[in-house]
Amino acid sequence: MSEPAPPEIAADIKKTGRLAWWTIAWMISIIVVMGLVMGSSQAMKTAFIEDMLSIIPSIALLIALRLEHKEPNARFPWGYDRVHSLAFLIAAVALTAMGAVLLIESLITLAMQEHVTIPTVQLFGQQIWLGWLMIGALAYSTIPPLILGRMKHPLARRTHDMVLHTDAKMQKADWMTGLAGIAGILGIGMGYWWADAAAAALISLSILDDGIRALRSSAAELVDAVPRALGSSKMAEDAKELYEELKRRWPDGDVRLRESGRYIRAEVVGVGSPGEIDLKQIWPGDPDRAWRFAALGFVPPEPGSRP
Amino acid sequence: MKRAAFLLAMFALGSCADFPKDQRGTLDRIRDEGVVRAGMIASGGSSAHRDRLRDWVERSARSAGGRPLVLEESTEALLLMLEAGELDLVVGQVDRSSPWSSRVHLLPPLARETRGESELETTGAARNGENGWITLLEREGRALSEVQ
Repeated sequence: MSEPAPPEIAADIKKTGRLAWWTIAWMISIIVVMGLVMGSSQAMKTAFIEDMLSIIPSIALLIALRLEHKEPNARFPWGYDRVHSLAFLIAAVALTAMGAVLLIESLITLAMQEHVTIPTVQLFGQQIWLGWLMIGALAYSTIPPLILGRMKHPLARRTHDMVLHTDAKMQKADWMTGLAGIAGILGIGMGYWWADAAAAALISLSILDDGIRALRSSAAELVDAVPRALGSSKMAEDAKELYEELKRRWPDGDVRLRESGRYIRAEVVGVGSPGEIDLKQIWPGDPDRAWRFAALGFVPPEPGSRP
Repeated sequence: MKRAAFLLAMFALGSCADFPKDQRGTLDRIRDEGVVRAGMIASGGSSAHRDRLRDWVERSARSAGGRPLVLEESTEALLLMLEAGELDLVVGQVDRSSPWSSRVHLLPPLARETRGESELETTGAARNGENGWITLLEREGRALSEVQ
């Protein structure tokens, strides 16, 4: 048994699942092509590892999508909304690991002053420098992530999907690494031994920054911090508006908001339940996003209770 | 980022004739000095193999615009000299599973021979990163294999 997704985003959630499957299929094809021409280039090896890591957010997303709308049961009385928060943490760890692997590997290469050899291969009776094939593979590896990433961003905003947003960042990291790899191989071809690793090190800083941001947000979500805007450590605008609306309605209460997957749950502490409430009536923002407000609880004042 | 990649691509294509280049300028040095400093591994190998290796060194030197200056020594001594940049090329019988295969670049073999548990390759070795010189050596090695 499962609860249906809110009708406003049901179609987008289906599309998210389809995109995740497409991402896995494309990334596998890229991994195969990269594996065939990898050689001993540092940027190529790192790009290969990253392409493997970049499948993780899509897998975590598919699992979360499958579980998040399951009905609460005796073992999971609060339902499965927070599976999405867990998937967000997994995706954030993968993105951070990707940036860290890239940075460490390239710094080691620079420190060891490794002079990378890219030999030739015999193809259809012609001698071809393997670097050209690597560049072809890297160019191919930038196209699907560029397109998929651009498709994911607006979808992630509409469905407030942190995992999908992190996945889109991962795709950005993929195409940037591909371009850095191309620059690195061309640099090697021009006789600069450090070009490959230096290009990879530069790109890794941006990936690591995105990863650490996502890691902070996902960790905050797991310890019930206020709902955050996508890719930011600041409170989400719609959550701010909701906080102010709840405070206006119950000025004596202590209003607490937290994020549960893509949904916001609120509690007003120190106020008794006012009876039946329509959450959509309370939601102060865009009515099309009222699905975000999933639950409101009231905790009457109790002497000796934890503030 | 995109602009940097584009500029690099344009620059690389502009100098296509001399692409890939060496990271330590082996080909430039050969052209300047007119000499290929080669090492012939003294131990083992049939005389037929040694003739082919000598042909390979001569063809490569000619193609690079120099004449070969060949030194005969043990494997270890020659590969150490190659790694240090005192030689441009070492030819002879080498075991590809030895640690040398990552310290220098072993070229595609002209022949293979199994001796005991190791497979010895009749091949050449160049310094890592000398991609222009390695491209030339591989081209001449393949041409030699086609002739014979």
